[in-house]
Amino acid sequence: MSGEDKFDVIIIGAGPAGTACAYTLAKEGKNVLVIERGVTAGSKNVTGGRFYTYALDLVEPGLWKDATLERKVTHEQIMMMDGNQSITIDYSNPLFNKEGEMPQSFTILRAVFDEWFASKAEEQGAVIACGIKVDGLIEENGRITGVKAGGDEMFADLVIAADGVNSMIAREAGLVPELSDKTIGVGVKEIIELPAKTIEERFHLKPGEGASLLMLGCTEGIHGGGFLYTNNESISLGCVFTPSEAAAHGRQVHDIFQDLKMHPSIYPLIEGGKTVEYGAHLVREEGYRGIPKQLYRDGLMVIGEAAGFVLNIGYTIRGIDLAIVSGVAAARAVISGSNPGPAYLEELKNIKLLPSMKAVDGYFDLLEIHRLYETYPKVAGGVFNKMYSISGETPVSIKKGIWGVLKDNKVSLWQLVKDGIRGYRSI
Amino acid sequence: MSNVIVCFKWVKAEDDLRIDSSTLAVDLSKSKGKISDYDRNAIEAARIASEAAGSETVALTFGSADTKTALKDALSRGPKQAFWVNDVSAENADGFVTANMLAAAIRKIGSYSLIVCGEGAADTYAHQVGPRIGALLDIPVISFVKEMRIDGNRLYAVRKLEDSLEQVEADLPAVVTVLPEINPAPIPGLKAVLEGGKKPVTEFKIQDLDLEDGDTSRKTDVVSFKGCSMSRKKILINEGDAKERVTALVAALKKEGVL
Amino acid sequence: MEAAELLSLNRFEVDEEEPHIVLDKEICRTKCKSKPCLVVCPAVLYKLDKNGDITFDYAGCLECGTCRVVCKEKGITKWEYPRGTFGVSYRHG
Repeated sequence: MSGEDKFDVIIIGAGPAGTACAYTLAKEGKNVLVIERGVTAGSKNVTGGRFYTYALDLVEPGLWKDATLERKVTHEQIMMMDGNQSITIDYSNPLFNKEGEMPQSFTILRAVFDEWFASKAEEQGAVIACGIKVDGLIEENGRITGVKAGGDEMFADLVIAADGVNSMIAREAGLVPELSDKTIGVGVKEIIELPAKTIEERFHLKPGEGASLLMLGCTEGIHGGGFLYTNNESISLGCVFTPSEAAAHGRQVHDIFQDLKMHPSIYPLIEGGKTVEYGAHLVREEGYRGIPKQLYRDGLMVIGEAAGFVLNIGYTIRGIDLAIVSGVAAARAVISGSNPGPAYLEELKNIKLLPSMKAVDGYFDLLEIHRLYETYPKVAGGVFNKMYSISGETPVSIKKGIWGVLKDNKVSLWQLVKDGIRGYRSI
Repeated sequence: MSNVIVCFKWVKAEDDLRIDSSTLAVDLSKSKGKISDYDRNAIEAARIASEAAGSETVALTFGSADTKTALKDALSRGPKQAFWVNDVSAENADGFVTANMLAAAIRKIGSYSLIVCGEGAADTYAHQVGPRIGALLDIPVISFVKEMRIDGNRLYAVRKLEDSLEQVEADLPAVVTVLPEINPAPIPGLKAVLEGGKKPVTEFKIQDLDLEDGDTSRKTDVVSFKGCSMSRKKILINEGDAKERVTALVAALKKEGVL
Repeated sequence: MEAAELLSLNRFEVDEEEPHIVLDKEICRTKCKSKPCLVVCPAVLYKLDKNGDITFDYAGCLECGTCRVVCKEKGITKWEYPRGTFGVSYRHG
């Protein structure tokens, strides 16, 4: 092989993980090639819509100020839905967004963000080749030595698979096991354009501020939920479903999602908006348990969502920040000069990624409580209905009302206590 | 044989255009750039021609600062080097101005045996630039070319006309404007993309070129730039059996002047 | 909105030469009873024709991979990402 066909590191995929890794490596003078199958970085990528800013600061302090992010999240909302009724909790705390400090999180559009981020890695000296699909790895004597793309071969001391949730490459190499239709979610999403002012009025926001809204009880009982994020001039509205349950349920996920748009609590938020894009993406739901046992082998490492670095703990969902952190960890492992595989695991611990994921491992059990997706939103709706129904008749006591609602929904005291204990233990 | 020069244009992607249905205003701000589709075939045609003749392909474009990405893309498609007339006026240039710029740049580049252009640009499809370059350089122009072959100093081409094919020949140097069907435009592979990023680009400013007064002023005026919106008549023919419906359909189409 | 209408909003570059997903419809018809692809594909690209055969068009694929994961009978004989530059290109993501 000639010098022109050899890099220090080849990274497959210019998403947040691959780009963060390339940025960090290139900055340290490493000869890095990133291969991206989309025409531009980000053109194949879909997210729900939120990014935790601290991760960009790990790549480069202050870099976030330059980033093409949407609105800083100032309102955290959870909505429970049943039929036409809904209950919303809205939490806001100015401490997360102190004047002059880095806001904790932003809403985000990936085609926009990833392209910007890749251009920053390019400025650091990384080579980004777009429009190229990696077809496979080159293996010599048990060691991964390069990649194949079309008729071309390219070699490197280390290949890093940052090729996302389906990770065909890391799977081919035997690192990532096949996904299960029970422990992933299929997310669908529309981008609905609205003027900034309309968004600010509807969500009670100041310019530049944004809301994050997660919905429970909008999936016809299927494990999953809805989400809404306010961007600068659009709303990301979507829904996530566990495919195995959706298949058993029998109604198209697309139709269930379309119904969500028409829900009386959602429609007024998007009314008059113009849908400009429809996207879909898989997301891992297992958290810490979903991380493959082996994150590296000789000549190959796996980072980002390919490595299972996604967290859904019900009230918040994280993936982009974890991807970036894992990319930085991989880069630091390479730069350290020691055996990159074990060094990578060490860095994942040092950078607090593995400990953070382990700490919330129990949420998976909480989210496995099936009654969360239909029965409990129904119960809550029933109780509120009792509380707010005034007709002039003598009301039943709330206590009695609650029992009635539980009975209507076939929830026994024993189940309630059991789920309560299970939920408490999980968190 | 000396170099084959291929001219290409960096245009706005048409599927990103947004048209306001009430005012018909066109919003270009969300539109990404791309090499004009037909010019991709032209670049490949130039590459094939120069390879057969044992010469080199050189790419040339007139564009503003955002054309930088275009150069990498063009160079990954085969040309050995690129020349770029970099000026913001390219964004509003018409065929007259563009041809003046490109012809002046070609004189500066010096030796060439063949100049290849796409038949028309993906945005205007005005068929102006190729013929004008030929006139400015005082060399033959062959348009609507679907096949071509070079033998020594002679160019043989097949032109696709509306109802016939025409075989023509000319001495080199010459300009050809080629149809997309002349050859497919392959998608560059990994190595080609990496090489494209390393090949030399020579940048010209307008003042570097030998231009005369008036060469940079448009000959055409844009009065307005609007999208079109189709309003449908929504006629439903659903009465009677199949035969009656077909008769009604034919009658309706005749009435509209379609048939 | 219908799925087809939503898909028309997206930018696609269809690879006419090489489909990235290929089915063996015989397997789908004879072996697969549940046909989960009919309901989980967000783009609703898997449909049943009047003979009970699966019809599928890869042109509007959002490349999410859900069909690949739910396909237990391996009626999907090939699932790859489209060749470089082809397939969906998100403008927003």
